[in-house]
Amino acid sequence: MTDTLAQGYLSLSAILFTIGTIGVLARRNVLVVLMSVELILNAANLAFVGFGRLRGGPEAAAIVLFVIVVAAIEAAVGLAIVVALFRGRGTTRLDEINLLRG
Amino acid sequence: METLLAHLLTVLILLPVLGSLVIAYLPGTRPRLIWRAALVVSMAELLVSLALIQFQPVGGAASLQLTERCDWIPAWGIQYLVGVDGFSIYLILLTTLLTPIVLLASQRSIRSHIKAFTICFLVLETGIVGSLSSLDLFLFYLFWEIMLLPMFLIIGVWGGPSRIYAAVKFILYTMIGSLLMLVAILYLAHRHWTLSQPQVWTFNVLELYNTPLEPTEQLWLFAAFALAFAIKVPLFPFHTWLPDAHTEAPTGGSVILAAVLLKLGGYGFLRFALPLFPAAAAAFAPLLMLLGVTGILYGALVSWKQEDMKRLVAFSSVSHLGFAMLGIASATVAGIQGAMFVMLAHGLSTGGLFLLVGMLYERRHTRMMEDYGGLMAVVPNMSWVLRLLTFASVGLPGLCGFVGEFLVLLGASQNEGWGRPAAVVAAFGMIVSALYMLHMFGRVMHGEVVHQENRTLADMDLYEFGYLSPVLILVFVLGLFPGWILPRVGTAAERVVECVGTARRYRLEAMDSHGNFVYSMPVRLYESVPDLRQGGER
Amino acid sequence: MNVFVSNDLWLIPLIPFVVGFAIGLFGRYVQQFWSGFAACLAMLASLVYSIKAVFLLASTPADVVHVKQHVWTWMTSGGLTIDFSLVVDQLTAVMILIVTGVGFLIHYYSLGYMEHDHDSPRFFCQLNLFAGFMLLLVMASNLLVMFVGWEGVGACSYLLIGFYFKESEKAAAGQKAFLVNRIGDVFFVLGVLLLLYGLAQAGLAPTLEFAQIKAGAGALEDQRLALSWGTAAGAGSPLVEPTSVGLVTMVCLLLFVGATGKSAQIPLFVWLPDAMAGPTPVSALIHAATMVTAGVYMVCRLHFLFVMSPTAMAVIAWVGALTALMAGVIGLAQRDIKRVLAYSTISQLGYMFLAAGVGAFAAAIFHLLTHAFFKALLFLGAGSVIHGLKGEQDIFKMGGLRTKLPVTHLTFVVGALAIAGVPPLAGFFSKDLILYHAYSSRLGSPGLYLIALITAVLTAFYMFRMVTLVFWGESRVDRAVKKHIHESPPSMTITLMFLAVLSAMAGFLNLPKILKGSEWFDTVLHPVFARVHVLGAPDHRLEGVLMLVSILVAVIGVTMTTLFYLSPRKDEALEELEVTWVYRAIYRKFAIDELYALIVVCPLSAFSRFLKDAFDGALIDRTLVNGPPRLLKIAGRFLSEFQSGDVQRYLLLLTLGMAAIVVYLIKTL
Repeated sequence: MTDTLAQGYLSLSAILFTIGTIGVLARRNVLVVLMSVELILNAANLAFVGFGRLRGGPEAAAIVLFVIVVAAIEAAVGLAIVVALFRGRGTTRLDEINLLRG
Repeated sequence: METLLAHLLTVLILLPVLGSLVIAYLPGTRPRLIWRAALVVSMAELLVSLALIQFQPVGGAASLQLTERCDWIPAWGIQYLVGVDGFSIYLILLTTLLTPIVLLASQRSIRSHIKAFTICFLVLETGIVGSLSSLDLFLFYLFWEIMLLPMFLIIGVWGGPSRIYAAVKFILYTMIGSLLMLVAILYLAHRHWTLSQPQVWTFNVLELYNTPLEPTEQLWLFAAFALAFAIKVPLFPFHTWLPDAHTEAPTGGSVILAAVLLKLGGYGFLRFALPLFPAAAAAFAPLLMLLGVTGILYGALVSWKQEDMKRLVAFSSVSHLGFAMLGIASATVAGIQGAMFVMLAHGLSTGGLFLLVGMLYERRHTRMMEDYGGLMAVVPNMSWVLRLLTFASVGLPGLCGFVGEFLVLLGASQNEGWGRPAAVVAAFGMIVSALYMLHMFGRVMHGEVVHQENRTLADMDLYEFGYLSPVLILVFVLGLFPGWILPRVGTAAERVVECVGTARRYRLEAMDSHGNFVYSMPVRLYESVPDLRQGGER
Repeated sequence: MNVFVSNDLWLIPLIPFVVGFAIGLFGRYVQQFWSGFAACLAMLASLVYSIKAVFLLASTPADVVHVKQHVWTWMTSGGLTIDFSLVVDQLTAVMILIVTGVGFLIHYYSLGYMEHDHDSPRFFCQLNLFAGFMLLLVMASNLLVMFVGWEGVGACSYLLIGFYFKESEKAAAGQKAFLVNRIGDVFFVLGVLLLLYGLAQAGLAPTLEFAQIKAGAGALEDQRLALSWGTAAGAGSPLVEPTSVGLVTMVCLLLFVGATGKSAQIPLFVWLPDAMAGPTPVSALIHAATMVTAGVYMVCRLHFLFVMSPTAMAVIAWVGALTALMAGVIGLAQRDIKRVLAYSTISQLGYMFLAAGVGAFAAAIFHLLTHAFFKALLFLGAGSVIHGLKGEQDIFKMGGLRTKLPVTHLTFVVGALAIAGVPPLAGFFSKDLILYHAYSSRLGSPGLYLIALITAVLTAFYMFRMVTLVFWGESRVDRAVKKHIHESPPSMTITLMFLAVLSAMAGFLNLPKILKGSEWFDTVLHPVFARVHVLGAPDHRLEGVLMLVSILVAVIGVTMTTLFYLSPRKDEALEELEVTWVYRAIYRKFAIDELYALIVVCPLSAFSRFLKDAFDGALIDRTLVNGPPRLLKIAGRFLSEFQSGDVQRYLLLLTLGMAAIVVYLIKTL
């Protein structure tokens, strides 16, 4: 019973992760990419929760809380960068931002 | 006074760099003050260095004098060890003489970043004097690299239109050579560590002279050292950084580059490459002579076809230093004396030529010969000076150029290997040298004035004549009284000759008995040297 | 062997040096007259000291070889010490008297000649420096100090030929002179080096002092030089290689090539005709009386080496004879008054070398002396003509100047008679002596004599062609110039008269025994050349016969030429002649300049350009030096494609890479 539940968590996590990855790789809008990153993080959270349920114990929950905090910070910093980028370059399309081109 | 004399070399090394520290804190808004301060420092350096004239040559093992020694990084045997002999004192004097001259000459043409400019020249002076007096390989390498940076900046910041290209080429080219030399230095020190009983680390060149090295090892190490020095000389075909660097550098930079920096190459051969690896030096001698002789003719012929006066003088340097290289490679006393003399004479005549071209450039902002012509009627004094320097450069006897060339040819003709054919070919370089110098003089000074702008050129004024006059006077003095210099160079040369000569004889014997290139190194020439007067530790 | 020490010798070259430098530095800031005055005074002082030195030499006991002054030690290297020291022996005595004496006269003449040239300080400075170097050359006690003078006079000649620097051609003539001289000088240096090598091989101490070389010369006799690279077979070597030459021969030949440069002999004579671009006094002093004789002096100074090598002597004699002939022939057809004289100088120098080559060194020096007088006279006379005609130099645009320039005319004819060898003028005696030795010496031959005799005819011809065309017959002067023809100022004419007297009388210094003379000049030089034994025993009958032949040849030559050029039909005859190819070849100087340009200068120039552009520029610099960095740059540009700046592409690659690793791990585990 618990196995199937855990499998469910993990499957959902995998699906979320894949969607997130594709979003990061394929979408051109920085905001969408950032949201996809959130999806990936949440997929990871879900995987933690799933494994935590399998193993028992509080560590997984602690890490998940930790990740949520980091994700929040990341969103804050990331959005700030996006705003700055938009002000500076007038675009939020990723393929138009290649300042580090060699 | 006593202390000053005991630590003369240290004072000479540190004075310019300390002076440059002071200048760094002067207000940048007062250029005259900065020029004056730099001049005071360099003149003080010149005055102190004049104490070197009292140097008396000592033959035998203690030929290096004014030595000072103290430990620096004891764990690796790295020391602060300095000393001079006949090879270094005149080059040091040339450096300390030319630095104030160059500062005086630059005062009118350099308008930006004056503080940095003077600091560069003073640091450069420290680097040169340090390289010329270091007897510890690590210390030598340090000063050797210190020389590069100010020169890089001088070319790159105050140079001509394609200064960046020239500066980068200069530094990369020189670095490639010196990095190989660094590897060789480390190998050599390590080898000494493995061979010595008990095992000690040392970079003291006087100790390393005695390290017995396998012949193949010697060949590789010599090649690494020789490459670094050959680039500096510059020996054909490693010369192409020179025309660019000379052409793009500001007048002062060209003067110091030609007059002093190039000489470090020849000095390196005499102080390090030859006595450290005598057997390899003997083996490489034909190649070095070949390249030297090629350089003489090649530099001269290429110089003949130049349109740019500075490039012409740059290629003439290749030709002149080919003579120096021939003399060094001949490994005879006369040849080495001649090589040193060629280097000193070239320092004066070419330095003077660059100063003069600089004066013309200041007036007309062009270095192309086609933009001049007929100047003799407009600037008679300048034409006299150019004529004198031309004659000195082509080696007219009685002026400084001839003594060196003659002694080099004499030395080469005493060399038993390929020296004689080399001397014959090199002698013909004297014809071509006359060809290109007279060609330049003719194109700039003879004929009618064709460009209107040239009709109103100002002749040399007293200021310009003033800073050029020491050079002009020395051109005569060196030509007429070489006896002041030659014996001191001679005693130093005798040691090197003995060293290489022993190795060569040994090689010939080995080849007689085995028929191939097999020998070990029995030469222990500077054996009794370690008991140096340890000035640094008193 | 005794040596007398004097402390005044160095003043002889030093005074002109110091005054020359002073004029160079300050001459432009004082009145023009003073530079010329100072220069003349310097020469006069030098002349006085020379006379003093000569009297000192004459008053020394018979066993004194020379008067010497050690000034300072110039350089030492290994065992070789080279002193800056000066000597005066009989040979030097003759030379310093010529240099200072004729030199002073020409300086004095120049006062008038350069009167209107505002650049005269430069002229007098260089002329004085030249005199200093020339004196150093002849007074040097060793080869290297001689070389100082040797190159110094070359440099001054370069400066003075290019005196009118505004005309590029004249300046270029100076450069040409210097470069051709340099070629000779290099051989001189090589000769010196080979001599040092030979001394070392013979086990003697290295030295370049003439006296010491003379003392050790015997030991060099057997030295041989293998003509292969690197090694040389020493004396007594059992296997003397077939391709070896005598070392002394080689030394002598190398030094002689040096002499051909300075003294304008085949093959290095091409600079002298062009050198006429300089002011005329310069041509008189440097390119007639003194500098060009330096080669002859050097051979005579080193006669002890040269006589050891019959090969070298033969080469010298034949080169001298052929040069004399060739220059004489070219001189026949020249139109420029100074060029005729230039070729005549080359020809007469050929005579001197011929004399030296057959071992008649005293005769060579005697001809050098008389030639200095009459050729200086002729050049100065030509200068006077040019001065009077406002720069006209074409002899076909002169004529009939006899009445307009009486002094010049008279003295010029004296000079021409002297050089043509008409007795009893100076040239007759000296040339006759050479002809006699060319025939009678053990090294001489009828062939040499014949060439010399033909040259004598040619000399008479071209000189009197010139005299007739310039001074006699009807005037062909341009009308514009005609009005202004004037005799030269006194300083010039006085000099001419002085030299005319010398040219007329100098022959009596060496009146031959068959004319009841004492051969005084020979006797004077005897101590120097005493050891030369190649000359045959005196044969007075032969001498008499040859002398009559010479007189006949000279007189016939002079008369025929004069008659031909005065005859009214000469123009037609000349027109016919001028279309023949022989005449044109002679007029074009056998195209030797063009030949040298074609085989030496042009290839060298093209080669240098190739080296500069293709070899140095394209190959070494752009390919070998800048090639590797460029390759790196291309590689970098290729690799930097991956650094696109596109975050998503990075991530894609990252993901794919991760996936690959995971797949790999799963497969292998």
